[in-house]
Amino acid sequence: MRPLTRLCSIVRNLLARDRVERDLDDELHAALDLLIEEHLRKGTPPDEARRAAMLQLGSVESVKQQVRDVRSGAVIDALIQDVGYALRVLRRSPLFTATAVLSLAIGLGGTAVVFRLADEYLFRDPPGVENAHRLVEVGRIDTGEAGGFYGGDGFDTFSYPNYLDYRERQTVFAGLAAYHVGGIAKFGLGTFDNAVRVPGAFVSANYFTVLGVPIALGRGFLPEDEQLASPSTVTVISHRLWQTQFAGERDVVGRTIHLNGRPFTIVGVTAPEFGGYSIDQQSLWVPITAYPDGDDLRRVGLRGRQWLMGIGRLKDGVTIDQARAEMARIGRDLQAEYPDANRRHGVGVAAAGAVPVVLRSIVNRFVGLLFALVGLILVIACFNVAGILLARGVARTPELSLRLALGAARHRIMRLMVIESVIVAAAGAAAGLVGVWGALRVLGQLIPLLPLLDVRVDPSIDWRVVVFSVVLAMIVGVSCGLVPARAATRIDLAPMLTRDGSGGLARLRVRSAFVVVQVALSVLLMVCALLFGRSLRNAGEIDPAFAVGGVEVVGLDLRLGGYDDARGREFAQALMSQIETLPELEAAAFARVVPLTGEREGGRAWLPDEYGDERAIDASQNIVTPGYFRTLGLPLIAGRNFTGSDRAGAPAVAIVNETLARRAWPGETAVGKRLVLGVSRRAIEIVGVVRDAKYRTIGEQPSPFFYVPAAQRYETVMWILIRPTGPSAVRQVRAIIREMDPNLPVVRAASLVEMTAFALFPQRVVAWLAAIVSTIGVLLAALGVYGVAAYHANQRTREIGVRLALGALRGQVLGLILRHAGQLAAVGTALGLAAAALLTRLLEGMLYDVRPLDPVSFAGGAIVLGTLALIASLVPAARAASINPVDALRV
Amino acid sequence: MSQPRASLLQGTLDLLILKALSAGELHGLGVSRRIEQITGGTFVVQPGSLFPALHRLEESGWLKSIWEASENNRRAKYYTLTKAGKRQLGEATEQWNRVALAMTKALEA
Repeated sequence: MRPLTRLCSIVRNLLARDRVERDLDDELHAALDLLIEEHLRKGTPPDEARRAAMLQLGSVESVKQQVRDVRSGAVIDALIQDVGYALRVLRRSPLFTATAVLSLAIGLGGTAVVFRLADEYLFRDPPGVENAHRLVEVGRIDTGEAGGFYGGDGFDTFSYPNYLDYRERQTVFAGLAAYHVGGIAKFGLGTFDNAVRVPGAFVSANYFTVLGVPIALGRGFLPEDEQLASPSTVTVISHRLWQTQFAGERDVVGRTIHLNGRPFTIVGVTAPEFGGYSIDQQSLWVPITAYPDGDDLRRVGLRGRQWLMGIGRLKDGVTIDQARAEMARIGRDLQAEYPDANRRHGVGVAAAGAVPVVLRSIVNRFVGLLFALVGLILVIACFNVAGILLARGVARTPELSLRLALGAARHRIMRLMVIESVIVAAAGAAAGLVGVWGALRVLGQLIPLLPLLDVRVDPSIDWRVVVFSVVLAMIVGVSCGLVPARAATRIDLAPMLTRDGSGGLARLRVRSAFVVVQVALSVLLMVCALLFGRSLRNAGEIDPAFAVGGVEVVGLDLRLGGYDDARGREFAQALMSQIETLPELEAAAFARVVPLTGEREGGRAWLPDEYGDERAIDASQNIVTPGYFRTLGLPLIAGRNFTGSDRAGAPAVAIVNETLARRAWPGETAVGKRLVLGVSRRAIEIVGVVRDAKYRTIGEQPSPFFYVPAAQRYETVMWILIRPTGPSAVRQVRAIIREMDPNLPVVRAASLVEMTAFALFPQRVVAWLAAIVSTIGVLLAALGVYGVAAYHANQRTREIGVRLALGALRGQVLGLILRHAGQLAAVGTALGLAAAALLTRLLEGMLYDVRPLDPVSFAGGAIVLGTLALIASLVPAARAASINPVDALRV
Repeated sequence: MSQPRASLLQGTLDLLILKALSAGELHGLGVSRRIEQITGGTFVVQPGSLFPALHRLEESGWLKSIWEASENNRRAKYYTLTKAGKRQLGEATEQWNRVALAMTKALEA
């Protein structure tokens, strides 16, 4: 049959059903009339004629039904009927429907949220980039370590001269670009009284060509834009920036804007979608050689100054392994040619991706874990729904028996039950998507708060997540419905029709298996949740050695205001003396690094007579003003604090922590000793020792640390730490800054508690998710145990009646039901603990001070589940024990 | 649906209906009469088989129907072959002849 004809028929049959039916009715009645007339003509009396005609035609209704069955779309028609029926059935048991829909909504919604985030940030090709799968990232790897690099940690930056050599010597890439994002590439876009901070990147001139990014307006960079001798101060801006900051005006090309106080000419606007190729997004690009002027420009030409990452496009036919081999060779050559600058300096190649190579394995594990958690809850929810369907199948046994006995096809009844579960799953998916929508809105507000990265924010619901949810819901619906449907229709008709029957033992077994799985999975989840919870509590209980509460932080980057070193120093000093006059403050300080935010300023130190890598003390440092220790409440143990006389030009001083003091001068006093810092071997005198604290993350081990006075080392990035007497003084500090320089944007203002919260952000997310998910899982499992116990008690009502009549004690009956439920819970718990013992090892890296086989968590999981299972089975058991034997036997 | 012979009989019935209509338009009962007549009374098509078959063939695009006045001025639904139906009749006849020939040969062997 031609498909089109068929489609037309289906549409007609479904949409114009009334007309089609009337037509059929008319046709058959016309046929009947014809027959009657024939008989009349033969001389049969009217009554007889009618009767004979009807006999001849047969039952009009039955003929109609036969016609209906062959019509196109008969299946769809039947399906619509089934759906209608299923909806009526579901509406009649709202409690079941609500539980099932809700549990599936949580499972489906959770998986959809994780899918959406992973899809947006990990799976999808970056918008506006041509053929993204042919792009690779190029970075420095440490050849001192054993083994090669294949996309793990330790992917780092290289210098501009090295980049020029890579570009010159390589033959595997159609193009190799370099770029720098991060700290110094945040631009202050000054338009006088409103300066904004704009994420940008320094890029090589071929950047847009290599990525294949179309330029929508004006031009991209030309080779002559990238010149050390005479750097052109030009910039290409993103389409979004063009729209938001320049109102999409066509004459934007050629206009001069001030970036970090320096004039730049806009030469082009990129195609609308582009904002960089990774999740770290940019809004404007500037040639590498336009790197801040003065000293910094000279540093661009230094081979030892590593600050660039590479991105290359593989030539057609070249594999990533070939590229890796060639870049490794070039790296070895350059090591040999420049042994000083390129010590242990290898070159690695990794597939380009949304997540920077260094973070990739962590992010993948994190996302995998989230998927596992939401996936588990989905599986539990499935078993829950299947279990309830099974129970309802039992309750409907008389009805189903009747239908089967009347000749309903078994597959039709199974289809009916599967449709029911698919409807439940579809409703669950719909409810889940509403939840996804809400969750994504909340996440959309949280994501910009993430430190360090300027992540693309647009995790709204799209068709991919809808398709994902719908497909998943269909799979879930069919698989949840199939087993119960098979079980429910496998009915021995004869006894069912005569009595209430007790042949449900097979079904009890299936359902028990379901409950065992549910219990096992929720025990697994519970153990994970307890592990994370304990880990988080341990982390929270760690004393960072300073007071996190009551401290506020305001971030500035003087470069964004276009300050050079001399003016910056002056400004910083003036700002601090202004802030110190605020009566609302107990203490205030500048610091280069805010503790516990994951940031670290490295600083290698040597004893004055020692040299070489082996003897170096790998320390970290912070650059602070004298008020720092008082603001954070860090006690000085020996020596003195920095003072106003520790200024530029005065003897260089430092304060070390206990670990560094112990390490460098075991058993001696550190005050008065000397250290040399960095490659320049600048000597400093130790003037004080301060208590050990947590610096980078709360979970770290004590490590060597030293502080240098800000007056002796100028830094453009400074965090103002204040301890207000009242609840907050951020407003006052902002006012001072605005008054002193309206063009200087405040990078960030928050409480220290908020800022440090990010140190444990992934752990917190996982712990919360695990807690929510495991609570739901355990409750669902308890519901399952309750259902099985109730069913079990119900099945044995008559038996219990007999027992009681024969003198059994109520306690014995109670035990009968409890024992069965207890067995299920015990088997499930044992399986769950075994699974946990196998799987929690994978969590090791995310736990703080808790072993993966932590006995408390394991015991806790078992106890929680056991208690709930007992409570859940107690109610039906008590009901069974209170049966009146006379009633039970009278049935 | 439940009889295993349905497909064989169905094919036969379809061919007979197409053949019956090849001489001109007929209403439902007319088709059944005509089949009885051309098969010499061997096949008596019951309404329960006839009407579903007519509707199926119409949906396949081989027949079309119109309401017309019958010989004694009653309204009845008349079926005629479409172009596709004529083509189908030719093909099915050919097919049938091949099968019949083969069957005859096989049974005589």
